Amino acid sequence: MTDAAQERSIKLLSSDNETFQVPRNVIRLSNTINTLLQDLGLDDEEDAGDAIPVQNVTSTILKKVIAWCQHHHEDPVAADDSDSREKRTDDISSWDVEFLKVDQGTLFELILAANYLDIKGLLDVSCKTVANMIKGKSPEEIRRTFNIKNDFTPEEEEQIRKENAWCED
Amino acid sequence: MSAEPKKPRLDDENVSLEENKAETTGWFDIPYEMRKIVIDEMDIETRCRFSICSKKCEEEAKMSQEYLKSLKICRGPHPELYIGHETSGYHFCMEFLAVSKLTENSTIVIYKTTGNRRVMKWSKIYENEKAEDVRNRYLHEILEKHHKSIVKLSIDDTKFVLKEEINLKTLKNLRKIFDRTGRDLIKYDILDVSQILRANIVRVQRTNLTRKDLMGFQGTLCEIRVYNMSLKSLAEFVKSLKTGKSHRNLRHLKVYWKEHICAEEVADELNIPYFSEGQDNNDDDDENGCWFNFDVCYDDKKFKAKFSSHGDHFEIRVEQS
Repeated sequence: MTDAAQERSIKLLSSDNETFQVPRNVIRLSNTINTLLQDLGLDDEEDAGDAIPVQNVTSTILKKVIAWCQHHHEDPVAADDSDSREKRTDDISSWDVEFLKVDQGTLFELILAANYLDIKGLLDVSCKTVANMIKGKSPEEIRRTFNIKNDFTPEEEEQIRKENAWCED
Repeated sequence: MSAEPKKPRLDDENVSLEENKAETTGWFDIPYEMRKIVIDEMDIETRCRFSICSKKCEEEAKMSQEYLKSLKICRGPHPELYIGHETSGYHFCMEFLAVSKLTENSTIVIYKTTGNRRVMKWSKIYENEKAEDVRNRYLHEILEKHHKSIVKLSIDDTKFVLKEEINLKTLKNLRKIFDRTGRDLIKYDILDVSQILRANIVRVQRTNLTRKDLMGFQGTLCEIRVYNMSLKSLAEFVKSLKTGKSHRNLRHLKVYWKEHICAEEVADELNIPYFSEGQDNNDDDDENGCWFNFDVCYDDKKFKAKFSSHGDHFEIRVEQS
């Protein structure tokens, strides 16, 4: 994408028909939109024309997604070391922590939107946040938090609890 | 560009969360792919607790990529000592138990990311259960569950027989398991041979291997064991070795026959000279056997063929010249 193209903006249309004008250098974090613009040959166009429909994302969530991209669009590109990196959920920036202090439904929708728009950073941080929500909770609390129905028989549950005692302190 | 109606300000981070509040609040409302990512982000204790929530949770916890990636194990200095790292995952520990030679008296040590370690005796973990029972249970569970759709296997002590075709990724994962355990004899009955090669399988035992199979071998094949291959097929294979056009990565080929076959017969069929025991000029002091004199060299390798004095197998080794 050229510098001129980065300074331009495009329009996104949410599933509930709200239009958002977004600088291209902000929305570049979305691989889905990037690819779409390139495939349609609109990457260097002065005016990308009609709004790009983002059918799976509501205006509320799209606002949040754009806000996240706005904050992070100048972040350095992280090296793809997903295979070797140590699993950590405590490396979320304070801005992201605050940003993701939302209700569970919104958080889930952000995950879906990040996945649909292929915004890796947002997907990572949202998934880590969900993982952190589970962290420290007992199985009963996890079930309650995430509406999970316990379908183990008492015997099965006893067995699996016994097996999982392995790693408990 | 004309102003859009209702266009929000992009710096407005205080989006009202009450409006249009999402309805998806249950774990299983998140698509599977994303659930997998979340599970991958969980530490081991969290994943353990999560797996207790429901059968599906248990299954997903075990199927997470992290679990598959956790097929890395460090054996302890003592064969009965398991040294693991908590990030390697609980289910990985289980997998190791399943395939290791741990006994009821074994000590298991798990190092935790905090730097602490946890030492446990088998009896603390599996009261009233024999190691072999647990091992078999988990081995079945691990291999059948995680490769459910593509693998059926039966276990005959040290042999693992795959009865259906499996994909390359699965094969690689299985190979890691078997490599680690010393139970490395895998018999592929139906598997596409080219898959075995791409997966860099070290040892392959295969019955009824056809000439076409053998001629199709490519890649890094270190050792093949073939049973009851016809002499004609073997001759063709050896011929291809001599021309140096294929099988450049072969290190070791063993062909076994159920019935005794004499060395001369093999040599005649292969149309190669041979030395009987004590006559070879190859400075080989290996166990008894007749060494065929291969005069083939290419790159930095040379072939050496040996016929067992028992007359039950033929062996080719490739050595650095």
